Amino acid sequence: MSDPIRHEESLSADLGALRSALLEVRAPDDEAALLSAARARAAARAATDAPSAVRPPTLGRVRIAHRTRALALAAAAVVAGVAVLVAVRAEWLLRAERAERAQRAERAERVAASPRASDAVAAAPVTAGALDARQAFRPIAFSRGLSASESYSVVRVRLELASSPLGARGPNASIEADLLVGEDGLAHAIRFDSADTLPVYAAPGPLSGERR
Amino acid sequence: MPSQTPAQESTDAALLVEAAAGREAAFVELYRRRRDDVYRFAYSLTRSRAFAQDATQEVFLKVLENAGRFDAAKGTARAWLLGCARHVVIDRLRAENRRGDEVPEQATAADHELRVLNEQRLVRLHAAIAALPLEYREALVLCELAELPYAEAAAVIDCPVGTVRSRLHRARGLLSSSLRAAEREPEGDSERVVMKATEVCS
Repeated sequence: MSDPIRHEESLSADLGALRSALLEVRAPDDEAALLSAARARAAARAATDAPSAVRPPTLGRVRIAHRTRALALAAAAVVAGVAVLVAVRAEWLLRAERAERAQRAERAERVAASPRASDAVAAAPVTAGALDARQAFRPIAFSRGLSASESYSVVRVRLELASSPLGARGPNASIEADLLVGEDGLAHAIRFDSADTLPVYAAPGPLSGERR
Repeated sequence: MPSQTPAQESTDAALLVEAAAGREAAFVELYRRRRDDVYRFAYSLTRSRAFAQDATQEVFLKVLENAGRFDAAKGTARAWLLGCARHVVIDRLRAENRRGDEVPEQATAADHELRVLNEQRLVRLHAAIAALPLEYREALVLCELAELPYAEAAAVIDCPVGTVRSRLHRARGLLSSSLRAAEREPEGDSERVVMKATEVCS
C-alpha cells in the first residue's frame, strides 16, 4: 500500500479513535451557576423594562421622552448625513468647475502661446487697430471668423499681382501671404509678408503716396 | 457527538421554542441534553477544559437570550447551538489574543481529559488539530469529530457546502503532514508536535 493511502487510512482511524475518546468527555455540571447567571441577567433585563409597567403614567412619559429623544437624535443624524452629502457634492461640483476653468484657461494660454494662434487673436477686428497691421492676420470677408477654441494652420502662399493695380511693381510681381486655414479646410484670415505689405495694405492715403 | 435522530432533533427544537417563551424548565432540559455537545465542541477546538467550560456557560446564556431567533427551517437545533458555540469560541479566542494571552491552556497530565485520551497518539493528534488554523480546525471538528453532515456543518460555519468540503480536505492534508513530520522527529513531548503543526499551517 502506498504511503499517502496508508497515512490517510491511519489518520481516519486516529480521528475515529479521538472521536470515541471525546465521547467520554463530559461537561462539568454548572447548572446551578448557569441558572443563577441566567436569573441575574433576567432580573437585570426586568429591572430595565419594569418601570414602564409599574408606573405607567409618569415613567411612560419618560419612556416616550426617551423615544422622542432617540427619534430626534436619529433625525439629527439623518440631517447631518444629508448635509454632509450635500457639502461633499457641492465641494465636488466646485472642484469640477474649478478644474474646468483651469483647463479652459490653460487651453486659452496654449492657444495664445502658439505663434499662429496669437496671430489669429491679433487678427480679430476689434484689436487689429491696436496692433501692427502688417503683422496681423486680417479676417477674410464672408469667412466664419476666428475662434480661440479652434486650431488653425498657417499656409504660406504666393499671390500673382499681374491683374491687380498693384501690378505696378512689375509684370510678374507677386507677394507672399500667410493664410490662416481652419479645421474646416477654409481660409479664415490672411496676413501679408511684411516686406510686401506696403503696396497691399496701403490705404488710399499712404498708398497713393507710395505710388507717387 | 453522534448524529441525532429526528425525534431528538424535534425535541431540541421544541425545547428551544419553549425556552424562547421563557420556560426555565425547558431551558434546563436543553442544557442537560446539549451541554456535553457544546463543551466537546469547544474543547475539541481549543484543548482547554477551562476555556470549554466558560464557553459552554456563555453559549447557553446566549441561547437563553436569543432562542427566539432559532428558525427550524434554516437548520437543526443542534446546528444552531453549535453555531452559537462557534461564535462564542471565536469571540473569546479573539479577546484572548487581543489581551495578548497565550493560546488557551493546553491539557496537562493531570487533566481529566488526558486520562481519557491517555494514548499518546491521540494526544498528539488532538494537539495537531488544535494547532490548525481556525477555519480548517472547525471544519474538521464539526465533520470528523462531531460527525455533522456537510450541510449542517455548512449551516454552523455559515458557508457553502463546497467550502466545508474543501476546508475539510485541506485540514486533513495539513494534519497528515504535521503528523508525518512528527513521526520523523524523535519521541518528545506533544508541544513539539504543536510547533510543527503551527509551522506547517502558517
